[in-house]
Amino acid sequence: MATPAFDGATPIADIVAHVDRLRAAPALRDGLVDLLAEQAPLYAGRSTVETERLRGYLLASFETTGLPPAAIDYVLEELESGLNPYTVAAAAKALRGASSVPERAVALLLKAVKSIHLSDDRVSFEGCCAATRDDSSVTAVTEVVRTIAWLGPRAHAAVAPLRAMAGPEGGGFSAAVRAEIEKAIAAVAGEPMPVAHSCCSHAASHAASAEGGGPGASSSDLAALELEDQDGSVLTFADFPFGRPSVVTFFYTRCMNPEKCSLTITKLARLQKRIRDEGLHGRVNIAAFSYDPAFDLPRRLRAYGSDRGMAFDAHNRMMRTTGPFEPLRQHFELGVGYGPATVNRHRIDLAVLDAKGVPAFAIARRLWDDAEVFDALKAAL
Amino acid sequence: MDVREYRRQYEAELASHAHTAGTAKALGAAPESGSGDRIHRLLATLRNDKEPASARLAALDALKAARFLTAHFAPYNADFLAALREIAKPGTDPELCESALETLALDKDSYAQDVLRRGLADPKTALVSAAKALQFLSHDDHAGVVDLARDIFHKATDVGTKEEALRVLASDPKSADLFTSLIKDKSQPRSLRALSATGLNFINPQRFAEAARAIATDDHDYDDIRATVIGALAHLKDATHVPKDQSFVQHVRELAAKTGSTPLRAAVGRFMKRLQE
Repeated sequence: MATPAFDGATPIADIVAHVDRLRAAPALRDGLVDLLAEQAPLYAGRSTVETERLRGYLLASFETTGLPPAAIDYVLEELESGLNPYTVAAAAKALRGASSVPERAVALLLKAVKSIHLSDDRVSFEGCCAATRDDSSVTAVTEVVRTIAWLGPRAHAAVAPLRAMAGPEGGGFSAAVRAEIEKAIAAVAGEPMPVAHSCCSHAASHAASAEGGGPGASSSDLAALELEDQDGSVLTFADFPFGRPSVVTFFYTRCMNPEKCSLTITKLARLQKRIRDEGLHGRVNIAAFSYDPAFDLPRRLRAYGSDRGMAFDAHNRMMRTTGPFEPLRQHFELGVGYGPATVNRHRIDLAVLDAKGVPAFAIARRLWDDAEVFDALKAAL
Repeated sequence: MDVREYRRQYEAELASHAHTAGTAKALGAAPESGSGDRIHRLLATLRNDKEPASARLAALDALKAARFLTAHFAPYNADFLAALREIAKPGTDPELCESALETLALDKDSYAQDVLRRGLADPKTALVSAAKALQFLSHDDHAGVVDLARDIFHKATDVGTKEEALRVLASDPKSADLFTSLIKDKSQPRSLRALSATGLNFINPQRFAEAARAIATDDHDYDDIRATVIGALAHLKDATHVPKDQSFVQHVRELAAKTGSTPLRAAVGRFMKRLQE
């Protein structure tokens, strides 16, 4: 079944009807994956909550259709850095459709419980997106705990954390959720079983990123792109002192998810310190580009970076495009979508470029560790 | 005074002013540390449409207070949100309905945003006024309501609704043209011009500085508007080259002597002080 040409003006009911048709035909489940990319036209111009509801409904469908390998990174991403109870619960349900579960899934499910338990909410995946009340008695945390239970002894590593949650110090869970936790403990406490080898998750690393293969649009298209840094200095992309390896990341100051942009810049500051400590200052560049250039004026870039420990000089900048962001989005094949006024959703994207500006290492859709990026940067020297 | 004695007196005073016994009952049950039984009772009161609205409002206030203790409240959060969504519907006491919607909107709740947006698009279904709906939706920069707010601004006839629409648009860089034209338009209500000055300063300080300098030197403009823009100029760091424009500085300096407006004199004072820093 061909994916219809949905866009931001397509009525939600039409999209949901299409998803329901795919739900009923598991052989066509890859058609659902096509709808998950942040930059997919169906999300253009929609609000964040509407985007999240749609994505949640899509993700939850994989419980029924089975989870195709191409969707696993989307699911793990949501468990790792999602904060919306609805989409996190949807990702947990999706995992139950997997024939083979990645090893890190157990840790991510436990992280998801921690991320949403203070904002737990009732969730229902029977319908999508209209202003209906979710009267289901199941909460988002319950869905995540049920997935841990579904894993059975493959989630043996979760026994101790689950016991801690259920214990007197655990707190923060309703009686119904605690009962689910007890059931999960019983389910996972058997003889430990391996989860899976790293069969499925792409979890982007190394040259050529997970979902696209690294920079797309030609560098010549980008050379004349005008940029402005945190001090208001104007330069073009070609002016940026390439000729040495660079770390390139993306963020925006209005990002509401502290696991994404705020953490990215905080870790970038830690990376800067490591670079200085290792005597590499001036031999590498750090560049963070705003997804939201019309709003992220120089003073906002500087304040956002300074508040998170960034130091600025010619090799360490936070920048915005003075015109459209689209050339950068295309070049780095970024996972970012826009609502009427700002970003409605984005994934985590980072690239290490060699001295010629060619990607040597890339991370998409997962949290990164400053040590691994430092190692990649050093290898690119 | 002993804290417990103060609390006892305060609660007695509240009870004496309560519209119904239910109010006092709800307040009496206000949780001190997230006690489960008390929260369950408050949730039951909040959900019970046979209870007087005042009692349900008091229960809602008590629950909102309890929610500050996030970890203690976590086990009840899902029930609390479900109760609020039950309340936010036609037929509920308007004050209670509005309070429930506001609480949900602060949580960037999808149900509340949808209800509010539908009410703005079709006022016959609205649960709160357009001004309130815009105010609640403005809690979320990502609510995607700027186009609707712009439309409402142009169609609304009451200043209050227009003010709320401008507050929403203050997060939208594409609204710079609208703000610029409103600032310059002396026929507009002054509150709208002042909000436009604030909004433009937020999203595009450079354009604000250009507009502000024209207003500051226009002796026929209102003193309060001039005070607003001069005050804002005093806090602009990088978008102007004011110190180099001696004729502008001189004009502003002379304003202090000419005007009878205390706010304008104060704004000029701040501006001149900032120039000396």
